[in-house]
Amino acid sequence: MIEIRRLTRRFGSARALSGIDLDIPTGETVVIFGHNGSGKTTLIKLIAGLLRPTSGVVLVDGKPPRETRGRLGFLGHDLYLYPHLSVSENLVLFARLYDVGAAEAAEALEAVGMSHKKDALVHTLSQGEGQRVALARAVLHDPDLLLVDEPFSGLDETSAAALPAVLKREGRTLVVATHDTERGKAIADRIVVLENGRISAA
Amino acid sequence: MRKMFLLAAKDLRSEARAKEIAPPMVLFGLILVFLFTLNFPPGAGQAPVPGPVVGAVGSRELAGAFLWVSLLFAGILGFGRNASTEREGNRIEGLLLAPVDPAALFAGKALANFCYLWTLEAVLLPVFVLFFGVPAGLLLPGILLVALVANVGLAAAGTLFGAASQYVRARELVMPLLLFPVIIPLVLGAERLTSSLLTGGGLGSQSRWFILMGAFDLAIVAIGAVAFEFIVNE
Ligand SMILES: Nc1ncnc2c1ncn2[C@@H]1O[C@H](COP(=O)(O)OP(=O)(O)OP(=O)(O)O)[C@@H](O)[C@H]1O
Ligand SMILES: [Mg+2]
Repeated sequence: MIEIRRLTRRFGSARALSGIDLDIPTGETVVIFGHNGSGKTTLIKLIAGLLRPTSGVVLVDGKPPRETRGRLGFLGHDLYLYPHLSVSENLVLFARLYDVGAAEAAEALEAVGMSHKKDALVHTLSQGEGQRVALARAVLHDPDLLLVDEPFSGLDETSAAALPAVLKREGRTLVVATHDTERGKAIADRIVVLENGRISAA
Repeated sequence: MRKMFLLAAKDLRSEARAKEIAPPMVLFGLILVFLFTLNFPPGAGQAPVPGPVVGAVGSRELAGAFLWVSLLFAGILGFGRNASTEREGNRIEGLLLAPVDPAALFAGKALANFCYLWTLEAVLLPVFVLFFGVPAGLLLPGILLVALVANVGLAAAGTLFGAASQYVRARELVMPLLLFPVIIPLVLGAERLTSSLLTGGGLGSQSRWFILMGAFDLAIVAIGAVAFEFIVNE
């Protein structure tokens, strides 16, 4: 359960989010639409605890986000992968940081269809391949809450079609920010539209 | 603890392939040692009388200072590069999201810096002995103890200020500006101890410098472990 109350975030004098109120029940998939600069990434990073609110609160299961971070999965605009480590070295590192094993890392890599590249150095991957490995990094600990920002961008048809199966899981709360209206609608239980840092439709 | 080693191993393995940190450090250190040699009269290092050549430029005391200034500047180059691997691609966010104690993030980075310093010294010390013509027998094994005590504090301070300077403009300038005043006790201590070794004084009479440096190490490691979270968050 995510509770967001009167959430505001400024960058300098610019308001990225203005007084957002939103509840996301456990297990629900919420898709966030909105133009460039409407505040989608800011909202997702606030829920992840990567940004601090200027005012207002975000609670994940009643706690500040950083206290439940072990159960959170996050895929943002950045891949968070080390270019001179191989795909599997990266994933095994994150698996251990999340207190799971190499088997879970291999499983996640299989799920995104990248097992054949497990020994490739990350800096040799194409953009879409990197995106898929980053997705594996985000889900290898089987998070209860998964936040993904533009997961479809850079993926080919096949990978994009396979994505919902990787993102969704019974009982997992999923928040997806995307510009892909069709695919977004297909996985959503609920749609939230952001406009200039406010919710214009939900 | 386990995660600290994982994180340091990640840096070292990556560096073993990329060679973006240690080789430039070593090269820069070599250049500095070489430049200092130019100001050091040939044979001055081998002065027969153990003891400072009073008033003379080119005493063995000065050689100790040259060594540590070279190590320090080359070290700073490495600290900055080591810190930037987490800034690039916002990789620090990926680490902050994981259930890892920020103190372990700090310790992992510091441990990598500690290893880079030893690598640097493994090359620079023999070159220093060769170029300055100082007797290696006087330096060893005492210099290893001096380096150990200095490296702990340098690596910790370099990690702390390396991270602190990542998010400002002119970070290459800000880092040394923050770092230099703080590590004065450490560098001064290392220089004095090295000079004492070079002039045949040994380390036995120098325990107060060890105590000072050891206290500095403890303090900076403790500060880093606590403060790192606030430095890298946002
Ligand atoms: N670090 C930052 N510093 C200054 N301004 C920022 C920062 N991050 C975001 N902003 C501003 O906040 C607003 C919302 O940005 P945000 O990244 O949340 O938009 P978005 O909906 O994710 O856009 P996009 O579809 O392009 O990814 C924008 O006007 C942006 O300029
Ligand atoms: Mg965005």
